[in-house]
Amino acid sequence: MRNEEQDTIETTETMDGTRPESAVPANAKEVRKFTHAEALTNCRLDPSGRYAFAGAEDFGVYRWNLETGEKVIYRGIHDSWVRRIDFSNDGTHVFTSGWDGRVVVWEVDPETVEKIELPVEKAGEGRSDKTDGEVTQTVESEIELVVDNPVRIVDAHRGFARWVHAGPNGKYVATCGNDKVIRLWDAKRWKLRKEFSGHGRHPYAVMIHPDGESLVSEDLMGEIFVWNARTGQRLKELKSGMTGFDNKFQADMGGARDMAFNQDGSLVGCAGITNVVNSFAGQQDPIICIVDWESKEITSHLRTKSNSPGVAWGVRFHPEGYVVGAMGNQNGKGTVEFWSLTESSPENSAEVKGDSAGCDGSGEAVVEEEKKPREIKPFHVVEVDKPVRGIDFTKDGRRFIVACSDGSLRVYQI
Amino acid sequence: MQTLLKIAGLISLLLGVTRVQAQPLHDIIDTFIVTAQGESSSIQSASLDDYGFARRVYLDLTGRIPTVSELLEFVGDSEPQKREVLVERLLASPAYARHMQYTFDVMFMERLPKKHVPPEEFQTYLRKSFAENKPYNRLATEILTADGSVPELRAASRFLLDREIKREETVRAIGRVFLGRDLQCAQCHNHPNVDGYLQQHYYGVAAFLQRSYLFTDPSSKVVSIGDKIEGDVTFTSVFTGEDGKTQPRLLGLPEIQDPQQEEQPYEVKPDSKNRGVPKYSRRLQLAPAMTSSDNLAFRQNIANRIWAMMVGQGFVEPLDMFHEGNAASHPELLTALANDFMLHDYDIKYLIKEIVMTQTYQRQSELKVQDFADGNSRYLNGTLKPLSPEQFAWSLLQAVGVVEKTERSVIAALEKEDANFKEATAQSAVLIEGKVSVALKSQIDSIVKVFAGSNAASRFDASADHALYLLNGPEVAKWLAAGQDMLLDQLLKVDDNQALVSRVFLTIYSRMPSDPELKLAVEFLSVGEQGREEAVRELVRTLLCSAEFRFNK
Amino acid sequence: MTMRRNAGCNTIDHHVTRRQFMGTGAMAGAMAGFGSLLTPAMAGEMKSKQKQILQVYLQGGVSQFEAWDPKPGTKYGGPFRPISTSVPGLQICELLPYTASKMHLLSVVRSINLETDDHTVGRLFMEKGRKNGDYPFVGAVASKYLTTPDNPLPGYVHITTRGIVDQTAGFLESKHAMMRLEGVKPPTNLERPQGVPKELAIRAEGLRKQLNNQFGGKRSRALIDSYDTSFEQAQQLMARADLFEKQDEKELDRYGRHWFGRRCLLAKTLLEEGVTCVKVTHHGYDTHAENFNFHVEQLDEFDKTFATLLGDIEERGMLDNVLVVIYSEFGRTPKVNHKYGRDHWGKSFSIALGGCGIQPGGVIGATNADGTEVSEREVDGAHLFHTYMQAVGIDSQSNHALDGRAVPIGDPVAAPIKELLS
Repeated sequence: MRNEEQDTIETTETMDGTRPESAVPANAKEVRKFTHAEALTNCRLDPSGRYAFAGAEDFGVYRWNLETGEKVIYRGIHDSWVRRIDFSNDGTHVFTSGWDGRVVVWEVDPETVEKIELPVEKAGEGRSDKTDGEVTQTVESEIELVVDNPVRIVDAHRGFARWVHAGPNGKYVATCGNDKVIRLWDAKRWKLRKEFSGHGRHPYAVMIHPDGESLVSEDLMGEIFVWNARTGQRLKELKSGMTGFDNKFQADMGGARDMAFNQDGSLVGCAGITNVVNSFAGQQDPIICIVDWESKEITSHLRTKSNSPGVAWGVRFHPEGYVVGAMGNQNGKGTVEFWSLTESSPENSAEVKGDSAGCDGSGEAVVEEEKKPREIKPFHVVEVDKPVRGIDFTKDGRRFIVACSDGSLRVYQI
Repeated sequence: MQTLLKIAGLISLLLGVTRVQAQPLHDIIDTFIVTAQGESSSIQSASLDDYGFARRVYLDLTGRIPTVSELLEFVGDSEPQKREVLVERLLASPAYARHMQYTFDVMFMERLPKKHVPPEEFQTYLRKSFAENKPYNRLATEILTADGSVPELRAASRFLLDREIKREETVRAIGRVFLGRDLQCAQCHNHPNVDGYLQQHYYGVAAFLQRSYLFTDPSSKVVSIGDKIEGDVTFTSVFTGEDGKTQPRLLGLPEIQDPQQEEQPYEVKPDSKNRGVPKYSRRLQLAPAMTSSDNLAFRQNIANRIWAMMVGQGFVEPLDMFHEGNAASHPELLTALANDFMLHDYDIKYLIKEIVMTQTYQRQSELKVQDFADGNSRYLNGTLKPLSPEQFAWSLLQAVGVVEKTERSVIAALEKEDANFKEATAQSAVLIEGKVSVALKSQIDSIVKVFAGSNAASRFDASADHALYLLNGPEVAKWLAAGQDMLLDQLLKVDDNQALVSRVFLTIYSRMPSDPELKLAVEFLSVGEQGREEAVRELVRTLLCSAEFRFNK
Repeated sequence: MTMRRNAGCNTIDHHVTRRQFMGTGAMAGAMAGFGSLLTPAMAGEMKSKQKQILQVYLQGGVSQFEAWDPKPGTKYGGPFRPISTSVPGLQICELLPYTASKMHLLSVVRSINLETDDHTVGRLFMEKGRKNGDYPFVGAVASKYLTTPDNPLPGYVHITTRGIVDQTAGFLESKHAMMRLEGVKPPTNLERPQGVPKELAIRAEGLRKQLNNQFGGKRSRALIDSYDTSFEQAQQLMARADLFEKQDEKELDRYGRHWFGRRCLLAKTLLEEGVTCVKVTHHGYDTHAENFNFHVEQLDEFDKTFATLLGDIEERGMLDNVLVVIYSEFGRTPKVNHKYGRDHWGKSFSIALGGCGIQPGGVIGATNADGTEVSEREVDGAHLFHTYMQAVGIDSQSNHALDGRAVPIGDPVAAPIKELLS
């Protein structure tokens, strides 16, 4: 892999007069692209910002060194897809939660990395012929770097382990799964400390608040619960509308595809879908709901610019306060979109077709008149030629990675 | 032998150029069916009496049973030519046009839902065509020519446009509807068992449309048919692997060669804004080729279909399976009819009237000799025909009094509007029929929906759902409720049970009850503890549920 | 004449000549004859113990990867693992744990290739055993040849709310056509209108019959008979309106209170009451997006309910006489698309079946290692149709009992899957 790092950063002043050293979404550009033979399911940057981790549809977890491009394969333990990755507070360990019900603890910098020699494959042949047109450079490489010795394997849930999140202060890790329970684990020894039931359907995501006192989780029906982490009491139940029932096909679709706190925990972002038209065909609207932590209400609906059908697969709060979302569209393309929660600009006051009356899927207003969520449109959109399935930012917010359905992991600079 | 020669002579006359005939067509038909076949008169069914005749022609020509007063007026008329007079009157009525509209709409469009042309527009187009007795070859030409680009002619384009000129569906429809041949099998190979259906037949039809395409106007979004100058048809047999190709052709007739291509082959070149209009269009050769006097299949098919419509059974059955292995029951007669139809400029009313005036048509369906095989196919007895969903809907509404009540209120409204309004003129009749149809449309549609289901081929399909609808359905209950000034109320005014039963039979069966039936029905009314209203209602409902009402005997 | 391969023709007409074809376009479909069975020997045997069929139709195309033919650890295998079943060596997807415990009652056919990815073409092929043409469905054929003459209920009932309407009787009498029940809702118009005392209704029905007899006395009977039948069926349903009443609470707990549970419970009831062929549709499985999340849900709903139904049939000693078939119109693509979906795949998919006449615990055919094509014993809808018929004692290689017409019951180009038959 050749190093293609950019040396300069744009220095033009932006319209809102922020300092030129700020990240400027309008300047976002792809600076690097790593490829993999199978579709990626999600991605994370480790706390040090050196590595991009991604799960893939071949059950593996892949770590790319953003500097050198070196690719390390974490495999052999999960026998299903890893859909969520998190890290220990100190950044030494990576947690992968998989649809095999396991959460596996690995080292971010493993001491032993196996070198496996592969037979040379000619370009264009080999395992990669089913990906969307990409002939991978990686297949041609002769050495595979493999990590197959995790620190720990936890049978976290019956059915999928859908989510893993490390809470603050290195104390707890939260997981949730298809057994409909949320579990709090001791972060060091992974003993089960607490278990919370209450979701009627599969919880898709659970996060521990930065204050360590509360949990927030969302399930298939778009029900967002806020829990007291100590007592297990449910402090709040929100119907987000991030769900839909397809009458023809008699099935529900919904749930958080991603969830994130902002830095101080005053906001939670939940990414997913709403306005289901034909869920089997993937016809529904992507949406990000922003929950105000203090009021525990949904205050904003972030809509995509084009409102084309698809799924919001990722949500992040940028250190400078705006929200970033990653979309996979039904038409086979993707976007990364940027919203401002504070500025009133023409984009923000846009009328959103279809759903301003309510977000509970029934078309009726759920919140009281004064408290209806704001419908916000993005101020900037980065087009991606493939559906984006995950997004993550460096701590300084200057770079972000996206994982795509064609197996590519792309690095952007803003 | 003598008779055979006579027949042969007559038929060859029919094949000639002139329209001079020794005998009217209906006599020729009867003579042929009985005498030419050497049939014994002892097994023929009796002729319909006046009641039976009235019911049958009202159903076959206007799509509904007669009212009691219409019936009694006809029966009581002593005019010797009254049957012919009635037929002529019915053919001239607006209900005839509507009935033909229903029948031909199903034939052309198989109850396909709307795609690009609203079904109502096509139906109106048909109705107007039959009202003005448009010659059938002209109707066929319009339907096969319309491309949807001219608003006034767009309705006729539904046949091609709503099949989106998709080859499989369109070639099949053209073959079945206009040639009486379901060519579908011949798509891949010569029909394995039907020697007459060759691949070249299928692709010969396909070739007419090969260069046509659907064009959507970018601004109006209206979809129409355009033509290009390229596109040839080739085919390979899945059995023999042989290749073939063909220019447009119909069945065994010669291929229609493209003329020498000009330097500027287009009137309007096809592009994103314009539908292509070449100077020579293969598609536009289809209608003239189809209706040409060289194409025997065209007129044989329509003659067969109209015959089947009236008599209940085609010379060729199924109607879309003309081929050598499926011989017509009376091949010479079929051809004679076809040619006569052509010689009379495809005048539909003419053909229908001639058929209706035959003794053949007027035979009862009751057999003279029990269990005799092939009686139907030799036309020695009438054929029991189920009412089409539309006939049943109208007859049902007629019987319970909805039609009459609606007519009265339509006429009252018209009289209110215009003091000079005269109910009895031909013009008013059209107006009244139109308004009554509009008023009853939703009820008719809902009954048709129950009885047609999704059955596009108008096959008789008796299901428990239909029975439950009649027995227990709220619609029927509503129509039979008292206090509506309809049938039930009229009956309840009649004290004498025998008179009441007669009235019921006349209304629903269009005939008088026999003595045993009278006894049976009167007993039904008098026995039991129910109230009179309940008993009368159930008597009516029972007759409505009976086979005699369901069929056109 | 030699019979050539049916490459998609309206084959009913292949056998028809004018003389033989009974009736007009109007009369087509109304055939005479109750009890005109195949051979006297077969007729006798069939009547002694009524055989029945239960069809469970997973509409939309269940993924064979996520059901009967898992491919763990392969490129297209997906995120699920297989589990062992009550049949040693047979594994199915982990999404079917309850069914897995009952696999000793079923066999799996893994090598179906319908050569179509079209819902309608696939569905009709699976039901008629013919790729084209107007033929009767499995249920209609079963209704005709298996129903005992004194059976008071319709012979072919389909419990569904999926709005697909098919012509199911083909050229058989209309009484063998599918009677559709809207879920567990009673048929429309099942109740006598108010103000019609029972005694009067009975006398009215008697009068109707007398009038029809009078009318039909000297007329050809076929049409009138079929019309009569429709009223008899209506009366049957009205008499058994209780079948549609509130379902037992304990049973609902066992079957599941969701709509599929309720319908399977009704299906069990109808089978117990002697309905010849009961079909239940479960939808939907057409998972072009989120194939895996949806299969989790749909099969979760299917699995326990179906296992309960199958278990009940077995427990009641009915399984020897009831053929059970679980099928779709096709399977799903090996490749997972960008929406985490799988698309249509008629090239290599599976069904499961068992009960009457079927050798249980077997696996017929196979797909290759990554599930992209059939690798052995390829079969299609025609072979399956033959097999169903033979299993319930109908000789699929003989002709339908129609006056004057010779129409083979099963497509002559195919034969029953002998290894499946017990």
